[in-house]
Amino acid sequence: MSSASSEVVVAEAPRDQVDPTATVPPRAHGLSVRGWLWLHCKIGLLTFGTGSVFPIYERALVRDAKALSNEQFQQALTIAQVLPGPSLVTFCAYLGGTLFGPLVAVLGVLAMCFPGALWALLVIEAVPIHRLDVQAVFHGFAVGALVLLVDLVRRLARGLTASDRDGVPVSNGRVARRWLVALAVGALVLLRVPMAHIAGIGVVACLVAEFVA
Amino acid sequence: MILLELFWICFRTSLLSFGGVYGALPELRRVFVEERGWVTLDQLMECYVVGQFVPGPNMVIATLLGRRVAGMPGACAAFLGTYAAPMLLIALTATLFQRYRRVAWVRRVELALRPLVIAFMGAAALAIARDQLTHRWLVTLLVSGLGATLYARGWLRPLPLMAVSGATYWLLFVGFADRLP
Repeated sequence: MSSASSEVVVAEAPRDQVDPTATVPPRAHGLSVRGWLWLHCKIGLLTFGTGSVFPIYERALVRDAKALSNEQFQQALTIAQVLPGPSLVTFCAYLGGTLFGPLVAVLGVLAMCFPGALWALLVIEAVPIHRLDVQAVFHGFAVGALVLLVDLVRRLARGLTASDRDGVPVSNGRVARRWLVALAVGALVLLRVPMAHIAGIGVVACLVAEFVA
Repeated sequence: MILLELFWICFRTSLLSFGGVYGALPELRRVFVEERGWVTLDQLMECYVVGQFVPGPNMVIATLLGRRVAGMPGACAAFLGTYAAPMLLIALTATLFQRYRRVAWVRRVELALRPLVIAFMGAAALAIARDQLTHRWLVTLLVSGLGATLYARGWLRPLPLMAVSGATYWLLFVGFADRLP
């Protein structure tokens, strides 16, 4: 602050503290605690078919409620995927804690997981899952989940061109290396290599492609 | 004691598995089928299949296995063990991440790991496509084409898309049975 004049001098953020993912101020996003918990109740009750949940999150949080930017969504997804444990639970807990605090994070996880557990107990006891027409419905759910997943991957793929510095685009070489790592890791998954090995190899490959190459 | 055992087994398995149920399944098979003999392999796979289709995390397989071993108390113990592990883990890592997320190299590491997310999601989509096309390729193409069109035009949101896909597949199956490949 200058003492000689009334001007206020705003210092620039140091270069090593660039934060392109601006934090959404608390309560400035268009999502209430009730809305958060209701979203998870719906997910826990209605999202049949594995693979459909992350696209539903993206639609609800980024496009509808605008509670998160694309960058923040990708960030949360990255954290959830690289940590061990059920990525859906990790994702839910991380976002709930970030947006609302630890209590709502726990409630959100319970709202999502508890109905699904009840469904599972009901289905395994009462639904004739060996009948072909029942299986046809589940196959339909899987196809619906496939459509949603493809759309989500298409949107997430744009994140491979994100730069760590404002106004400085990422080089084509780095984007190409990121794609190469993604394709290689995807191939390992399809070849049914143990997930722990894939996670280890994948993390090393990502870091080498980004920092060394 | 068995409830504590179930809690600990599910806690440990959840904490050490990458990729959700795909990473946990070998360990669940080793403990529940081979080491303890609590369930048969067929029962394990039945729980796995149900877990793939019901809402929520597909780690619900642990809850179903707990039910098989010790009834509803077993289901509760397995449920708590499975989901307590990631909650504790995220409580620790999220605090660290939020504290240091403004540091440029942390941001760069996060960007560096994004290909993993694309890879896992893309591979999941390809695996589903492979399984469904192997099952009934024409029906899969018809249902996915219809669903993709309705979704891309904004006429269906995600949950109704799932319902329409399930209903359409069922209708095609009931109407045409084995006549459609």
